Amino acid sequence: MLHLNHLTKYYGEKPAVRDLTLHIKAGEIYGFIGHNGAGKTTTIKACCGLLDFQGDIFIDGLSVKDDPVACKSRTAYIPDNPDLYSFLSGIRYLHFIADVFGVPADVRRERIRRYGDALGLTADLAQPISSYSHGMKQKLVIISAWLHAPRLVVMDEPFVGLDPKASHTLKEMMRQLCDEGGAIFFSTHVLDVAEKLCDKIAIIKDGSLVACGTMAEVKGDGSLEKVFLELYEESVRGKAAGGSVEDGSVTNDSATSGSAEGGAQ
Amino acid sequence: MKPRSYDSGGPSKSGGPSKSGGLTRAGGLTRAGGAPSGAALLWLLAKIRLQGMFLSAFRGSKKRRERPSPLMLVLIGLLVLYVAGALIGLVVMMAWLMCAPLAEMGLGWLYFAYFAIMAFAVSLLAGVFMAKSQLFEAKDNEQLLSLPLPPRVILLSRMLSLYLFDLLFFLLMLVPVYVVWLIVGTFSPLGLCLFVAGLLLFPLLSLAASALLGWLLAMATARIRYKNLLALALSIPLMLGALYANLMMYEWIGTLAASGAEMAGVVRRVMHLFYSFGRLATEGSVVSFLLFAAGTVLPFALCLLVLDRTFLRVLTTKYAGKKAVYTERAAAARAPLSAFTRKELRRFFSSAGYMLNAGLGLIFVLVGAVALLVKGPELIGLLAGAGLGAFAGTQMLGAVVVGALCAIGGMTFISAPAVSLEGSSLWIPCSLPVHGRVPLHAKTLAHLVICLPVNLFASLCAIVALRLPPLMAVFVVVLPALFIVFCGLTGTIANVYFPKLDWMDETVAVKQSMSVLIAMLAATGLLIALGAFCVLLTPLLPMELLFGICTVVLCVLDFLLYRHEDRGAAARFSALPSRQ
Repeated sequence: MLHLNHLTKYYGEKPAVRDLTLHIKAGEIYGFIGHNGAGKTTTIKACCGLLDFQGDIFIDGLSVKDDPVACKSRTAYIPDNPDLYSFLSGIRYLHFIADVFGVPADVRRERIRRYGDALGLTADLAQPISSYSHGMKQKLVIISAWLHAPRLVVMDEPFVGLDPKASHTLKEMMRQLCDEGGAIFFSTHVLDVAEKLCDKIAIIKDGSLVACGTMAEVKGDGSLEKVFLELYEESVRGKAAGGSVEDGSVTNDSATSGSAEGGAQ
Repeated sequence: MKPRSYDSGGPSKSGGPSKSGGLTRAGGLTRAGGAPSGAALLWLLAKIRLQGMFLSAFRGSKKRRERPSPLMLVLIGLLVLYVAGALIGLVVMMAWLMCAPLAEMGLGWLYFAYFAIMAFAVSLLAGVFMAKSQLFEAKDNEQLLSLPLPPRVILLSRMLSLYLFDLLFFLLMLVPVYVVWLIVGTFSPLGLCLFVAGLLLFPLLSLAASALLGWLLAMATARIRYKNLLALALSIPLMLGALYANLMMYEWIGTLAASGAEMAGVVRRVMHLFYSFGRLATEGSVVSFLLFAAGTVLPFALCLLVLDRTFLRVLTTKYAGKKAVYTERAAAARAPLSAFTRKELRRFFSSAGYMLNAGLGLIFVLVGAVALLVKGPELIGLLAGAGLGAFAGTQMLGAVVVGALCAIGGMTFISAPAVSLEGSSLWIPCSLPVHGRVPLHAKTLAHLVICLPVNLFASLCAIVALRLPPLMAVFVVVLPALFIVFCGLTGTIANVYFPKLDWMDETVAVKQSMSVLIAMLAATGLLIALGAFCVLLTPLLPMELLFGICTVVLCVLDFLLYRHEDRGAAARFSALPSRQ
């Protein structure tokens, strides 16, 4: 479904993502974790055609570089900070998105009702977005993302700002989309969520992939939190000892074995 | 530890702003005790604000740390020179007309007083909405209020940046006035010193007035739902007043020159402050300077007192009216271009600042058109009475109408800030499955949907009122329409190349965008070129033929711009998130 091939992205001289290869298959919920500034958002934005990059990204076999519009029509993107059109009401925003994706009138009405009710936002849809709280905006973006029945949903910290009920609903929606043949690729700092929800996971550190694979492959007998903290501490020690990420001195052996398998898929 | 009080202003003794906060690390800001001084905080905040207002328009991507290229710097320099030159040229022209007669009458002070009144009025009109948006509606208000900063420091930092903005305007207006006085009138070293000191104080007065009016507006709009309607209702009469004053300016200059002594008496009695300003500049009167200083500093202090007491309340007052209830309705599906265009129209009509700044020309067009319809027969009668009856119903009047409509069309720049206004929501159009050309065409289309009907109405009014011949009537409709298409396309394209996406309040994106300047400059340049072409060739070729050539030129330019918007500019728009 989503194939990242040697994705590399520089901001000026500074590398943000280096030679990242991942494959997210249909039916998978794929978690993406890493410390702040590790390159998660950059990777996610590149997948959604919001950034230029080196390497290749394919969605459903279509290149994001060569056919961005076709790729975007199969994808829904949920950013980390939902800055929306504050001058529109919630319902007008949803109609705008539905118009752009060409969702027929009767279908969009049914989906707005279904997801609006599920997330508890229906009653507020006539309100201007400027009056929405962060969580309400997040719910609106989630509804707009599911409105066109995407094949792939790419999300950056989707659970931030959501109340427990909405978080639970979102998890159900994610699972249902994957059961219907879709795929989810999302970043999160909530390791418990990642551990319970994801079929596979990738850990990125300083722009490089250090671990990926099934949950069992990555965490082994320990917890995801433990693996993540070990990787982080190794990174800090490596830097203190003068090692760089490029020379691989800070990678975790157990995790890289997962990476090799996961990355090769 | 005692609770920290911010109402008294300045960091409290019980505990100043965080010692470990970012503000204390800004370099050279801390006192011996570690807490930053109030002045240092003030300057730091003002600096950030000024950088946001001026420098970010010319800076490249934040992540890439791009600096503008030398070519870009030259272009920016030329544009700034052009704008400053145009303003200075206008002032010098008027000053030249007035200075000698008033100096001969011994009323040099009236010459200074007149320009001081004019500078004050313009600064006040332009400053009310700017003060309202910069002081009370900035996007970073909540963020700053959450920091351990006294609200007074936030208020003062914004006042400081507004003061510097006003000072720049006063310098551009009044320094040329003084230079003309030096050439025509007499020089007094003390007068020069007092003039400079007065010039530094003068913005305090206009700032106090505009900030108080902006405060009243903010207080009123904070409590009602339809903020835009109120803002429009209040601002349109102000703007029309400014237009009237602009139209009457030369007549007033004539009156002033003809009956100087009479006017001098009125100014001295009614506007003593401006009389003092005139005297301190011409006679070097220290008493006048002291009076003027008191007249500027005291209102400013009063304004600060009022704002300081209410600043926090205005910032934290939110409208909590009746909640709109959602009822499910059938909605027709639309094409993406239509959806984007409707979105652009909603953005325009939802923002009083955007409407007033970018679309004010349309109100002038409407008022002018109705006036022409009502006064048209009278105008033809006047022309006949002045022995110019032959002009009625001729090409000459048609040419004047075309020129006027194009000139106002060039000042209507709805599309020029449209990309900038995407701001932090730029990810939406760029992540949707449409080519970059769709949102761009929608921005231009919204410009046309708003402007063309108004222009068509004005053209039809002119045709009826002035009894224009059929062929000229066609040109009166077609030429302004093509010119407006040119303005719309230029604005959108310029904004793609010069976007200002990291604004704190949208007035900055609308008023201080490089793209707005470029769009207006391009429209003015084209109008001057076409006008000069017609004027020079009128003796040789019939007006209809010249207008026909102009039509072809505009069609070609519009086509080329459309093609660029469709390809190069669209590709650049799609890549904008990468460039930020």
